Amino acid sequence: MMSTLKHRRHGSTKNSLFHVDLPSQSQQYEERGVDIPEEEPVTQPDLFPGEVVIASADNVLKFSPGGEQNTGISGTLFITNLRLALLTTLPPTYQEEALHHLSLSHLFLGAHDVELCLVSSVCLLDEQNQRRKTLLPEHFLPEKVPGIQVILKNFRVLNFSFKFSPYGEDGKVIRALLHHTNPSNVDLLFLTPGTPPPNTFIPTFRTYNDWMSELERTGCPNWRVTHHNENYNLSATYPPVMVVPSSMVDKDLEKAGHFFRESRPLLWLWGAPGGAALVVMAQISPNIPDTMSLNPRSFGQLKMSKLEDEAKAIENSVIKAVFRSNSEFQECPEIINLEKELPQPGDLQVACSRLRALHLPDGASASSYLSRFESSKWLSYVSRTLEVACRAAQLITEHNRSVILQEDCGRDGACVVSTLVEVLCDPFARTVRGLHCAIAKHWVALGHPFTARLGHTKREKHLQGPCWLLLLDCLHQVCVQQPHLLEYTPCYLAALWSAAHCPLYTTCLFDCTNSRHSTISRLQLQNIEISELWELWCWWASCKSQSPATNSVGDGASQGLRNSSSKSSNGAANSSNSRSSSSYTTTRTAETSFTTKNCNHSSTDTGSSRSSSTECSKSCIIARRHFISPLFVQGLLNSLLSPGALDRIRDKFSVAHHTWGQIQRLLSPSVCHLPYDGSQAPAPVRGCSPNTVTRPPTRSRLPPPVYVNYSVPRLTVWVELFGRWLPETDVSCDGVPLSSALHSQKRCILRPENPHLLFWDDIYAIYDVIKGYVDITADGITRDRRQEYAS
Amino acid sequence: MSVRPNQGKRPTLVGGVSDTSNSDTSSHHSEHNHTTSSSSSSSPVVSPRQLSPQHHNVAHVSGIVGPPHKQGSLTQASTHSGESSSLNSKLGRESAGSHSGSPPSPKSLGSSSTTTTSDPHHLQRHHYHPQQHLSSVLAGTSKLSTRDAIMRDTQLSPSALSSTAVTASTPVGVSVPVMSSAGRSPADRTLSRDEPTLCPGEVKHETARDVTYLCPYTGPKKGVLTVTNYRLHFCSVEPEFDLSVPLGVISRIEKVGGATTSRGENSYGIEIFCKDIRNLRFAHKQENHSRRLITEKLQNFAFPASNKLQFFAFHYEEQFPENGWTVYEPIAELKRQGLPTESWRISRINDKYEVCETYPAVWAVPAAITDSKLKTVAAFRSRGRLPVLSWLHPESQASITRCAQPLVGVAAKRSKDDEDYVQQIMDANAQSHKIYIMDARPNVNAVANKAKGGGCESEENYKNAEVQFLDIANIHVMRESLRKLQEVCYPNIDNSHWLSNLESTRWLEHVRCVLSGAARITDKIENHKTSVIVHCSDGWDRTSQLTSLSMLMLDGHYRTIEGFIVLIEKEWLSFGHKFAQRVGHGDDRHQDSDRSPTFVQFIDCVWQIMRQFPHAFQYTQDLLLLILDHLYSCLFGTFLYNSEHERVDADVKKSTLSLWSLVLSHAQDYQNPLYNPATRHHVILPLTSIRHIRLWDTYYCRWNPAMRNQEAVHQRYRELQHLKEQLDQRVNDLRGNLAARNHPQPPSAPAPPAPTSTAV
Repeated sequence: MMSTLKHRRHGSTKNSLFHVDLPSQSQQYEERGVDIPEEEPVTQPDLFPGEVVIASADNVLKFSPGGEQNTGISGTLFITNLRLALLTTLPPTYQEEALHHLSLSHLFLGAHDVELCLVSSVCLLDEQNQRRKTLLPEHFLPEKVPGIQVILKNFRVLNFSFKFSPYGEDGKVIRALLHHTNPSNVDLLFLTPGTPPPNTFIPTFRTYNDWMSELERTGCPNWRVTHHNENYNLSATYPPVMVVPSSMVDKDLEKAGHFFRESRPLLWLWGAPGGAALVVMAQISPNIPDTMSLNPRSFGQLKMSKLEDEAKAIENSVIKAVFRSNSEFQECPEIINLEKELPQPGDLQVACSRLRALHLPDGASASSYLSRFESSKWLSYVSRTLEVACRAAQLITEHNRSVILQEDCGRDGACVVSTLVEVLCDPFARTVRGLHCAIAKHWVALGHPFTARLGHTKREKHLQGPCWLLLLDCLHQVCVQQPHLLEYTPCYLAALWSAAHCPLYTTCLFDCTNSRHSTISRLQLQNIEISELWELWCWWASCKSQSPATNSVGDGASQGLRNSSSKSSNGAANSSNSRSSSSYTTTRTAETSFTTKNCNHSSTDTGSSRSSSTECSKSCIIARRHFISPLFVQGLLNSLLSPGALDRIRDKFSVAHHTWGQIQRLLSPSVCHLPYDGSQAPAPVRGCSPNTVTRPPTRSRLPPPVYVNYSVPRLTVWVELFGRWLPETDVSCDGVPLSSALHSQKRCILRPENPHLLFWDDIYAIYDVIKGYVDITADGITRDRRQEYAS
Repeated sequence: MSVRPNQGKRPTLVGGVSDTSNSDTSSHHSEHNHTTSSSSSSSPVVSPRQLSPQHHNVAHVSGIVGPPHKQGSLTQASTHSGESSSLNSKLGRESAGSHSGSPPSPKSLGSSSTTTTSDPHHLQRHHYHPQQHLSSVLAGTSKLSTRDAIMRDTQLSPSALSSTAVTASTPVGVSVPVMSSAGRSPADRTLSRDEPTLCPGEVKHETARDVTYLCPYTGPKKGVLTVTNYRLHFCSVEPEFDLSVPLGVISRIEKVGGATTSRGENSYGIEIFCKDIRNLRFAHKQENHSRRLITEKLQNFAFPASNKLQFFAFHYEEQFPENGWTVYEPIAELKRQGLPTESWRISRINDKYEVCETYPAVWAVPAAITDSKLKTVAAFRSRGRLPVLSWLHPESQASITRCAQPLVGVAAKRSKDDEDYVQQIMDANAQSHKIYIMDARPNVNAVANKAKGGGCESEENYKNAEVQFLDIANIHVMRESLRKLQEVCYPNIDNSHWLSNLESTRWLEHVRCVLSGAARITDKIENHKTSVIVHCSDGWDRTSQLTSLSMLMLDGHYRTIEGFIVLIEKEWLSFGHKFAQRVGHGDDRHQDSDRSPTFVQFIDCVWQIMRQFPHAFQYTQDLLLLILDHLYSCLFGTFLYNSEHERVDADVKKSTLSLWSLVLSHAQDYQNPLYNPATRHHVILPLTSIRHIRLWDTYYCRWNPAMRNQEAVHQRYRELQHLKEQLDQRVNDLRGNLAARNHPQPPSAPAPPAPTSTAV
C-alpha cells in the first residue's frame, strides 16, 4: 500500500501532503485555500519554560485517524518532555480540528500536538500498517521501524510512518517517546505555561474560609471546621482543614484516626439544611503500627481480637457523632459500603482497556460490537454507581438521613458517588461553576490519587483505575436524560477527561494536597520557577476572549460566538478576515496581559499575521457554545417570563436580577469570564437565591433529587467519547455541518450534528430581545428621573 | 372553546437562578411518582420512606404486582414542601404544552378529545369540556393535573396508540379515534367508565363484565371488556384504566386454561397476540361464560378477510377537512422531478395493468425505448417488473431505477433487449459511463435464485455495469429477527444482558444493513454522479426500502410531511409492496410465511436517519408511530390490499378514507419545530456503523413504562419558540407604550409600564 504513495512536495521541503488517488481529499485541502508558503522551514516547536526537545524525526507521515491508510500529512515529529508534536504546515482534518477546539488544552498546544500523559500505549506497525505488538521501554527495537501506532487514553489512535524519515531517527523518537511517557516521578511532569488568569474564585478547600462558607451555603447544622490536620499529622492524605461533627473534639478525631486506613476517620462533604450529611469514611484497620503509640504499655498483652473490638468501638463512636450532628435525631445514618456495591479501580481499568481495544480502528467488528461492549461491563458499572448515588440522594432529601460512604480508604468510589449525590441534590452543583467546586472538594481535597489512578507515572501503572471517567460517564448519563437540568454538556465532560491528562493543568496531577505541596516545594528548592498553577477552571477564565475594557471587541466576540460554527469550517478564509479586521490589534494588546501561549503550528503557514490570541479566542468561542447546555439557558430565560419578572431585573435584591446576571455571564463572554461571577457567593443549597425577602430560608426539606433511570437499557453508550475516532466503514460521510450549510444554496452533503447546537440562535434572539427590553426600561427610568428633577 | 382559558397564564415559573432547576426537578419528580404510583402499585399504603430508587426500578422492570393504592396520597407525600412550586411549574409547562405546538384549533380539540358520535345523547354525556377541566386544574382542586392524567393514560393504556410524545405534551393530542380517550378529564371518564367512545361507523357487539386484564407491568385490573366491529376496549374503574386496541393489530387469539384444568386465580381466559409487539391477557370468570362470546366476536371481526367480511375501513364515516387521496399524483410527482426530459419520458403503457400487474399505471422510462420493446424487457424480468424510474437527480441526471431480478435461470439466459435497456438507462445520464446494479440480496441468495429461474445480471453481458450485492437478508430472516426482538423487549427486559440480547436478535444489524445499502446508493448518485438500478428478487420488499431510503437522503422534498406521503404512496403503495400479505390484514393465518415487517423496518430506518439529522425532517417520530399504528388498524384504506391494481378494483379511494386525510388535517401535531427548511437543498448521509444505530425504544418498548422518560428535544424547542413569540410581542407592546409616552404625555407619567401577564 505504501508503495503506491505519491509523494507530492509543496514549496517547503519538510512539509508535504501525500496522497493516494482520493481526489476528494486533495480537493478538500485546496478548497480550504491553504497556500503553502515559501518560507524558511520551521525548526522547532515553541517551547514552554522547562520544556526540552528530546528527539525529532523528519518526514514522518501521520495517517488520518481511522484505518484508512491512504491519506495523511507529513511533517517533523518532535518528542519533548511534555508532548509529541508534529510540525507541519498542513491543516488538521475536520475531526482533528474539532477535537482541538473542544479540548481544554487548545490554549497551550497545537492541533497536531498530543500530551505524553495521554499516551496509553505504543504499538509497532509493520509494512502493511498492521499492528504487530505493543512496545515497552525495555523492548529491543528493530533496525528500521516502519511505523508506530500511538493509542491515547482519550480513545484516539494515531498512526505514524517512518518510511521517509532519515535512518536512525525513528529509533530515537520511539525510545524517547517510550521513556518520557512513563516518567518515574510526578515532578518530571511539571511545567507551567505562564501566569494563569486572575482568580477564578473556585475554592481550594485548603482554607478555613472555604469550608466555612461551604457549611454556610449548604446550611447543614452541627458541623465544625477543624485545623487539626494542618501539618498533615492526622492523615497525610486529608486536606489541611476539614469538617467534622461538632460533638467530636480534635482529640477524639486524633484517636479515631489510628483505627482507620490511612488515618482517614471521616470527612464531611456535603449536607442538607435539614441536618442530613454526606460523609466519607475509610475502613477500620486496627493493625497499623501507630496503635502502639496509643497505648504502648498494654499493647503487648492486647490480643488482635481486642484491638479489633476497640476499632469497632471507635468506628461506632464516629458513626454516633455523625448521628448526633443530625439535628432531627431520627434515624441512624445509612452506611453504604462502596466496596461491595461499586467496581474497584482495578475492575475499572480492565473495563476501560477493553473499551479501548473495542474502539480501535481494527478492533470493532460490527457484528459483535454490542456484546463486546457489554462484556466490558462498563455500562453495568455506570448503572451500579448511579443506583448507589440515587439511593443516597433519596435518603438525604426525602428522609433527611445522613449517609456515610465507607470504602477502603475513601478515596476512589467515594469521590464518584459523593460528587454524583451533590449533583443530584444540589442545583448549584449542576452549573459549571458548581461542578468545578465539586471537583475541588470531592476529588482534590478529598485526596483522590490522580497520579496513580490515571497512570501518570511509571511506578504506579499497576494502580490505574479511571474512577474519573466513571464519574464523567455517570454525569453524561444525567446530561442525556435531563439535558435541561445541567449547565454543562457531555461535550464538556469529554473535554474534562482529556484535560485530566494535560500536565499543564495541575488539578488532576497529584495524589493529595500533601503531595501537591511537597512536590511544589521540592521543585522550588531546585530553583525551578513556579508561579501560580493552572487549574482546570482556568480555561473558563482565559476563555475570556477580550478584555472587558474594550467593549467594541467584546461585541465582536459575542457576534463571533453566533457565527462561530460557520467560521470553523472555513478556517482559512477566516484567518484572512482576522488579518484584515481592525479589532485585531486591539485584541492583541488586550491579550498581552495573559501570557497565554499558543503553539499552533498550523498557524505558521500564514506567517506571523495570524495571531495566536485570535486563534485561541476562536477556539474558546466555539468550545463555549458546545460546553454550555442551551436547554439550561432556556430554563433561565423561561423563568424571566413570569409576570413582572422583567421589571424586577433592575432590582438588585430580586431573583430576576440574579437570573438575568447569570444569563448575561453565560451568553456574552465580554461580561465575565466564568459562567458564574466569582465575586458572588454561590447560591445556597435550598435553591432560593439571595433574595431573602420573597423566600426566607427555612429548614425545609430539599427538593427531590434529579431523577435518573439507571437501568441498563436506559443508559446510553457514550459514542461521542469512545467511538469518536473510529472510521465509518461504508461510505465516508465527510459532509459539512448544518450551520455552515444553511446559507449556501449549493447542494451539499450534511453532517450529523448535535441538535442542541441549533438552539443557540434562538436563545440569542431571545437574549437580544430581553436585553433591548432592559435597555428601554433603563432609558425610561432615567428619563423619568430627569423629568422629575426638571419639574 | 376555541381559545384556551389559561393562555395568558403560561409564564408561571417563578424564581431565579437555581429556582428554575428546582422546580423543574420537582415537577419531574412528581411526574415520575405518578408513574410509579400508577404502575408499580406495590402495597396499599406506601409511605414515602419506602420509596427508594430500587423500589421504583424493581417495580418497573420486573413488573412486581400487588394491590393498588391511593393515587393522591403518594403524590402529596412525595412532593413534600416543593409541592407549590412543582404545581406552579407543572401548570407552566402544562399550558405551554397545551398550546405551543398548535394554535388552539377548535377542530382538533373537538375531534381529538370529544366523542364525535352520531348519537346525540351520547355526545352530550361524553362531551369534553376543556374549560371546566382546565379551570379545575388551575384552582388546584384536582389531584391530577391534565398532564398527569394524560401521563397515566399514555403510560398505562396502550389506547394512546399513536404518539405518546404528543399526547404527553399536548393535551390537544392527535385526533385519532384509536386514542380518543386520552384527552378526557378524570371526571368525565368516571361518567362513561364502561362505555368506549365509539368512532363514526363503529358498532358495539359484545360486552363482558368482571373481566380481569393482566397487565404485565401494573398488575391485574378488573373491569369491563367490550368488543366492537373496530376495537377491543377494556376499562376499569379502580384503578382508572383504559385500554383500546384496534382489532386489526390482532394476529392470533388463544384460549388459556380449560374449564376443568384451570385452577388458580386468573388462569382461565384468553391471550391475544398483537402485531405491534405486545400480548394482552384477559382472565374471565368461568361461570359467566363470557369467554366464549368474546372470543367468537373477536374471531369474527379481527379477521374479516378470513370470514369474508368487509374491513372496518369501509364502515368508517369520519369527516376530514383534507382529502388524503389527492396528495399523490404520479404525473405531478414526475413533473416535480423535471420529467419529461430529453432522455426520460412518461409512459402509460400499463394503464390497464396489463404489462405488469403489480406496477402502477404510470411509468417513467428512458425516452429511447419504444413501448413494444418495453413489453419484451418486462418478459425477461420476474413478474414483469422491469426497470422503471424512481428518482432523477435534478442536476446530474443520475437516476435511481427499480426492478425485479432478471430471469437468468440456470441456463444463464440473456435478453438483448434488457441489456440495451440498461444501456439506455445509463446513457440517459451523460455524466457517467458506468452504471451500478445494486442487488439487495446476499450474493449466495442471488445464485440460489437461479434455480428458480431468477438470478442476477452478469457483468460480462451488461457492458459498463457493475453489480454490487448489498447483503440484506430476506423477509423470513427479518420476521424471525423481529420476533426475537419482541421476546427481548416485551414484556420485561433483562437488564444484565440487555446489549447482548439485543445483539442476538440481529435486528439492529439488519437495520444497519438496509441503511448502509441506501447510503451506498446515495453515495453513488451524489458523489459519483452515476445512475443506479436497484433490485432484489421481486423488487417489492428490499427494493422499496432501498429506493425510498436513498430518495429520502437525496431529496429534501421527501423530508416534508407531504413529500413523505408521496414517497410512501409512490415507492411502496404504487409499486406494489404487498401490504395485505406482509401484514396479514384481517387474515387469521398467523403463521403465514409471507408475513414480514418490511415496512416497519423501513420506518425504523427513517427514524434512525431522523435521529441523526433532527433538523432535516419536517415531521417528528410521532408521524412514524401514527403510520405504523394504522398500518395494522385497518381504519383507513391506505394500506389495504397488495397493489394499486387491487386497490382500484376495490374502489378504495371512493369507499374508504385515507390515512393522509387524518395526517394533513392535523399536520400541526406532526410538525417538527426543529425543522430547518434550508436543509431541503441538501443531501443527508447518515452514519451507518453499528455504534450509531440505536433501538427505536419509543416504538418497540413503548408499552413498558420504565422505558419512557427521555426528554423530547423537539418539545423543548417548541417551548422555546413559543417563548420567543411571547417576548417579541411583549417588547413590541412596550416599544409602543414608550413611543406613545415620548410625545404627548405629561412628565409625571407612571413608572415603566408593567406589561400585564395577560398581554402575552
